[in-house]
Amino acid sequence: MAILKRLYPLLLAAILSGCYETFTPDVDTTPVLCLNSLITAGMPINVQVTHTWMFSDLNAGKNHAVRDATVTIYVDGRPVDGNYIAREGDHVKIMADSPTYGHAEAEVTVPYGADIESVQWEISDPSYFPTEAIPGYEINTMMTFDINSKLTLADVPDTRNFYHMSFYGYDPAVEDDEPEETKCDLYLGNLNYDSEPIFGEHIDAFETVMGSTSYGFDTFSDRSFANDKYTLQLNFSKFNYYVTSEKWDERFFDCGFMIVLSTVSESYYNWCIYTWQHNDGVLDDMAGMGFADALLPFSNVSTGAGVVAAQTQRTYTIPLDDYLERAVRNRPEPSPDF
Amino acid sequence: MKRIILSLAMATIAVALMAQNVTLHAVDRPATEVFRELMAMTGKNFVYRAGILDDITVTVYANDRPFKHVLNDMFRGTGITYKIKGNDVILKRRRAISVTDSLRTSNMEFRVEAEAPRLLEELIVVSRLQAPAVESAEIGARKFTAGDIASVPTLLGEPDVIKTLHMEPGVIQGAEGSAGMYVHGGNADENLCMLDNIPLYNVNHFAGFFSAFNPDMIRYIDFYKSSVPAKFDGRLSSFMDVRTRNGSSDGHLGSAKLGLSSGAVNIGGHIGERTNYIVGLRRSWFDAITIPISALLSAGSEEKIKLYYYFTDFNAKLSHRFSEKVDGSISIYFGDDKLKSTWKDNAQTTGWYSDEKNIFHWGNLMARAGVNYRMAERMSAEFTAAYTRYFSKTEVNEYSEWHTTSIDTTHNINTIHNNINDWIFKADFDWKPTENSNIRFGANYVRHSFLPERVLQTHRYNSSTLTLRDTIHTIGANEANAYIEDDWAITSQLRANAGVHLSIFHIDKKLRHGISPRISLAYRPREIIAVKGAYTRTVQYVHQLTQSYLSLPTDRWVPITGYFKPQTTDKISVGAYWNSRDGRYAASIEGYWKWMHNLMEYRDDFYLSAPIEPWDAKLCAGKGSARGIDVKIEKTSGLLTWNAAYSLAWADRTFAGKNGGHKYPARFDTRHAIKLGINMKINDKVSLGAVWTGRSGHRFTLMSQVWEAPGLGMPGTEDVPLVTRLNSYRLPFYHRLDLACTVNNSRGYWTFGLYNAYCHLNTVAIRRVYDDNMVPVLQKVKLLPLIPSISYTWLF
Repeated sequence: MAILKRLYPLLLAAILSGCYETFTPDVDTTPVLCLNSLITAGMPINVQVTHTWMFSDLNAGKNHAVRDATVTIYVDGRPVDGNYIAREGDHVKIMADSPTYGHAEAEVTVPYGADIESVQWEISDPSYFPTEAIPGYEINTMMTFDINSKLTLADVPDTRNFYHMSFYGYDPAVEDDEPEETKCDLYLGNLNYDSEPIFGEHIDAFETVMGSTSYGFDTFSDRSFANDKYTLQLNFSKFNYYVTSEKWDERFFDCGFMIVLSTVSESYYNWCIYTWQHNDGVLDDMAGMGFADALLPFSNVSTGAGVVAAQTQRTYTIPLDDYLERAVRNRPEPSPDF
Repeated sequence: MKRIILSLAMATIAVALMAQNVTLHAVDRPATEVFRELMAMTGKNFVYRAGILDDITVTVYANDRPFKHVLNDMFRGTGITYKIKGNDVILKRRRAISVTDSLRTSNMEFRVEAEAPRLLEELIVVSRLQAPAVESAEIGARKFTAGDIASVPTLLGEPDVIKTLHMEPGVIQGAEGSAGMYVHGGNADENLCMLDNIPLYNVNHFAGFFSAFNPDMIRYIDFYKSSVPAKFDGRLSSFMDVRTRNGSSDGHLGSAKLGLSSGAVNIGGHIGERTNYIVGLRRSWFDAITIPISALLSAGSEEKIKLYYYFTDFNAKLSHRFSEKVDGSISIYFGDDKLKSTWKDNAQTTGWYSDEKNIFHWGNLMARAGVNYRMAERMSAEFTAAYTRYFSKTEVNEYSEWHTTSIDTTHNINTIHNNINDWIFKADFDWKPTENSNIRFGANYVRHSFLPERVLQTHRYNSSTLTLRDTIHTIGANEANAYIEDDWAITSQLRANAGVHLSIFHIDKKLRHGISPRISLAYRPREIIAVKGAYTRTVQYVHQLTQSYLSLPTDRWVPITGYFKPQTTDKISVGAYWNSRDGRYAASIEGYWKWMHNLMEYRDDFYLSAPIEPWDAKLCAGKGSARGIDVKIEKTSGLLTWNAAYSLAWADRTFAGKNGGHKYPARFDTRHAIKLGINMKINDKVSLGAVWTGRSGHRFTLMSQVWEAPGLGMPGTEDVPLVTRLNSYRLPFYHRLDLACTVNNSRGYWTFGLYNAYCHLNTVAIRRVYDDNMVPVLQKVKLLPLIPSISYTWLF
């Protein structure tokens, strides 16, 4: 689809030959407060207070922290201190006042987390990369495999919900006392976004035909399954596992794959949609040529600067230890032709 | 070639006698004006083709002389002969070459005029804007001839209807180089464009850089931007009726044109005594460039890219004279744009294989059959049945293979259709009960079928089809309209045009209605001066959803649904008009104030609504207002013609879902606009044209401040712009000079053009970027340098 992303330049290049002139516009540049916060259930509330700056002000771009602001946090109408641990269902209001930059406030409700009802997964297409036989080393194996999984979540009833998926892997840390050549790493596979259409639910016809894709976009809503269950097809390809060691050690197989389902606030979702439009959509490009209106960023802060969001996370772990151990035990002999 | 009976005095007094004497003093006055005066004296009708007298002036000094002698004096040396038959004076042009006295006639129309006319070809005088502005009741109305269109220099030398209208005060061009049209503070979808009185939904080619009307097929255009005849409704801002030519009655005449962007062939003639035809085809030839260029770019690469684009217009019209009272015609128009690209990546080294095909195809089809029937001496009727269709299809078909230890295949197909199908049945009547009154009335029924969007999406991954989404949503609607108006000369000095247009629109089991009263009053204290006032209300039931200021296949026309109400506009306008006694000069000043209700726009945060939500979830309703003054001075005849126009305007919008609910300036709120045009005939072979446009810059939402992005979701987000008031920044003053030169030879004529002749690149946007040293800067984006053009038209 990359060709379509370049459609306008291709079409217009024949008749348009633009140029650019750097200038400083005569506009109001009074800075205002910016509040950024991601409140996570079970964690203390942190707020980042900065100020806006003129885009072309290089110095302000490097340092825009606000040091004279007073921040007050209310939970369900009551002020709380900085040690307060956020809980699901909390309605949080953050207010900041600065003698220099004025006042800003934002509100968000910590969503109730949707449960992961089940995860079905299977490993497929395992294969080994040819490796050389290292003298004195018992293991030198590099392999790849896919994981196809189905995750069923139960939508939180009677509210409009938004979700974000994230994926992590874990592998054993190689101890300092291990030999230099001892390595053991698990590299995450690539999620096939085409296999799960809900990641592209935000892409409309215009963007579709212009070549925009959902690649890298892990946020979605319950618009199509409100108050119901939904099963996501999460197909990962090309996990890579690499282990090199002088001796066999069971710890090398202590690997796994974590799927984190975050039930996020609407502000979180809206911010993700904006960033997708900005980075992958075509409207911003067209606006830059004067052919469309500017894309206006999302903010739920009273000054228009910043995003205060919240999330509640559920995690499911796919253990890979048994599989990897079996796979390594059944590894082919190192190739003499390597 | 179609002929016209021009009944200038609407069958006044039947006292035409050959020996009738007249007294008339005229020095270098337009022939049409003198004819009107003669009509008033004698009751004669003058019969001639449209445009034949556009640039002819006459000088006559007669005191109680016989009518025939006066005619002899008038036409001496002009190449025009006349014949008196009954109450009609039939004019012929003997040799066309001798009367070409301005650039306006140095085109196809000129050749056609050279034909010898036959008698009484057509019953209906179509253009109601034949008379000069001082004589009519309308405000802001103008007739454009094919010559007017040809005389305006344009981008790539492509004569363009919409860009000709841009020369009118109060009409603003949208995106740079495009054929977008914003009239008196309105939006682009508020202009009703009709071809032979039938609406066309898509009037642009090439993303809006060319309009869809083949200029060689056009006879004239009636354009209304302030007071609107009761016959028209359905749009808020302006109404444009483009009328196509008829075929020649004497032989088969045509032209072939080759320009930088397109070529065209037109031919017209007659079949027997009563039937004539005309066929025109225009096609761009961008693909002749893009295909070899893409082949060159792909040469030696594993990536094979093909890209081609073209647009086509096809017009055909067959007219038949059944009897003295009945004419009939059938016509068809088809215009489309097609963009196709293929991309094959056969990357042996990376193991990546892909085959991607994209097709965009959109356009209009219009078929029309009409009958003109002169029911009585003072009453005629036009019955029309038509089908008009807008279609848009986009298809993206991607297949890819990823070869490693195994082969993964992905196949995605996305197809989107957007259609409108309208069946239209109309009856229009023209009745002159007295010499001072002209009543027009009629009714029509339209069956709409909207398919705003049908999406077919198929995703295949390896051997399984993972999902298939198929959404079909067709909406039917019934629309009926009725109107009546009277163009009434109350006294010799006071004229009124009053009427009402009634409409009903039935959709979603809801019946919406509109009552659109219209009234225009003109007071003419002296023969050369008129002052006018008008009130106009218009109603619009369908609107266009577009996310850009270009014309794209993804733009959708949708009806009023849900909680949205029909859009309406109330407009008050006043004007003062002056014509010099010899008719060479004219000046006007018009003022207007309009209030727009129930407007629809995308919300500021429209992108947050998912596609599965109804399309109107992205929209919000609001209101707007516009006011301004249009001034125009022009010299309309002679070897040198010119016009100067100035507009002072304000336009604003207020939407609950935009700009925090605060009022804000419209994007094309253009405070000052100056347009200067000049056409000069150097000699019989060479003529020159120039147009200078200067105006306040468009409005722009400049977000010059930024804030630090939160660390949410997608990584890599840059600093985020701080939203400011919408359209609060005005871009720098815009100005441009376009030049054209036409050189005639024995076979045809060359046209040379320079768009933006002094190469002043105008600012169209402002962007935030990091320069080569990674320093953040704001930059003006400037487009469209000097662009030369050349074309040749061969007449045969």
